[in-house]
Amino acid sequence: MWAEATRVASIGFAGVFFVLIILTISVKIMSFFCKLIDKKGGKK
Amino acid sequence: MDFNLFHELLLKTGVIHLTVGHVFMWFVGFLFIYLAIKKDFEPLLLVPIGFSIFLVNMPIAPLTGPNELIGLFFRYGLETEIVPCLIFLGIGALTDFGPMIANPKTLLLGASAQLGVYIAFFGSIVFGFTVKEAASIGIIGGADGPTTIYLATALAPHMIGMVAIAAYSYMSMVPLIQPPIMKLLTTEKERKIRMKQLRPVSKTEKIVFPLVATIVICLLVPDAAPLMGIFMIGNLFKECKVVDRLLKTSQNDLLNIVTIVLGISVGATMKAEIFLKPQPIFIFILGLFAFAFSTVGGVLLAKIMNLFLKEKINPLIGSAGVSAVPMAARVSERVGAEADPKNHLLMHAMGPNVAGVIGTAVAAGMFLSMLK
Repeated sequence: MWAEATRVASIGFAGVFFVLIILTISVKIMSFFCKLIDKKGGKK
Repeated sequence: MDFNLFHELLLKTGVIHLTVGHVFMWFVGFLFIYLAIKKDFEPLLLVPIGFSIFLVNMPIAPLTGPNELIGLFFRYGLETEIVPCLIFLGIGALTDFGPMIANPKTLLLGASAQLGVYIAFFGSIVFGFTVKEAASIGIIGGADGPTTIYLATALAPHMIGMVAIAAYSYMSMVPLIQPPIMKLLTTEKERKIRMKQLRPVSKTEKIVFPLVATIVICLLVPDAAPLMGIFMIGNLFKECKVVDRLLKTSQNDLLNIVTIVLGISVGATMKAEIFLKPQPIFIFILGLFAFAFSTVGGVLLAKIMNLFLKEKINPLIGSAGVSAVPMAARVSERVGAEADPKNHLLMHAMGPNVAGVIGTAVAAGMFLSMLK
């Protein structure tokens, strides 16, 4: 049981960090492109 | 003959079946109602929960059986996981992701504030709970009621009431639990750190975010999709500005209706014969540990990030990484203002606060994908 618990906790906590790091990077990329789109829209 | 009829009638009254346990639970119900009315602790939830505890501890009242009123609320609302997801729709419709989009690194604080989830998970194993039960208890540390119920329904349905009560009780006590821990882990100088004003976030960013977040989360953790998908639909209603009627319904009427069903159903699980055992006491102790360590996780990661960042962040905003929106952010603001009354941290703390909602849902999804 302890082996399973350790596996679940370590993978789980690492997984939460991994997903949120990917989301952080995605938000950065999203903001970059949104600013680009907004700039182009502004010029028109 | 008449005596027999009288005897039969007497047996059908609750008075004959009343136990000390029932009366004790009445007092628990009264306590919840008192905390809600007098102390303003999560009144929208604690009033229905408190009254429901009181009501279901009326002996032999036909309320919680499979085809009885509250039993039906529970079966169709909670067991089917409809209510927690609909609550997420409302929360999404009320959430402003602007501060998080403006400062995306605060998402990491939402991840570190899940530390308590895993500490309580191990603690539960020590107390003799199974792995699935331990996950349902640990998630209390995420400070997110709907997610806690969602996970418990899937992994340990017999514990829904206990974990939900623990989660909502501690959520309402965030202003009492967090400040001492935050002060213990930070210096006066750190508490006075002023953060640069957040940049304005464009409408385009706010509209695109729910779509991006849905892609990332649902592809990486499909088991979090029911919660996160509905949460993001609600948020899109808010940001797109073209579905005003849907937005208003999600934010008000629908959210209020499901909150009533949730409160009554959760309270109904606290019957004396179920609740007055050592198990719920352990759950409450573990829930407190979960909350405390989640606060520690958030504050410590903020301090670690400061070692590498040019523009320092105030570590007090780390504690807002536990979900409890917006109460945890308000606590960061209040503790920060005690150190420097002109330092306003509320908007900065909203970033990790909403990130905490995502973090807890992802943690629940991870548990589900490994244990379901």
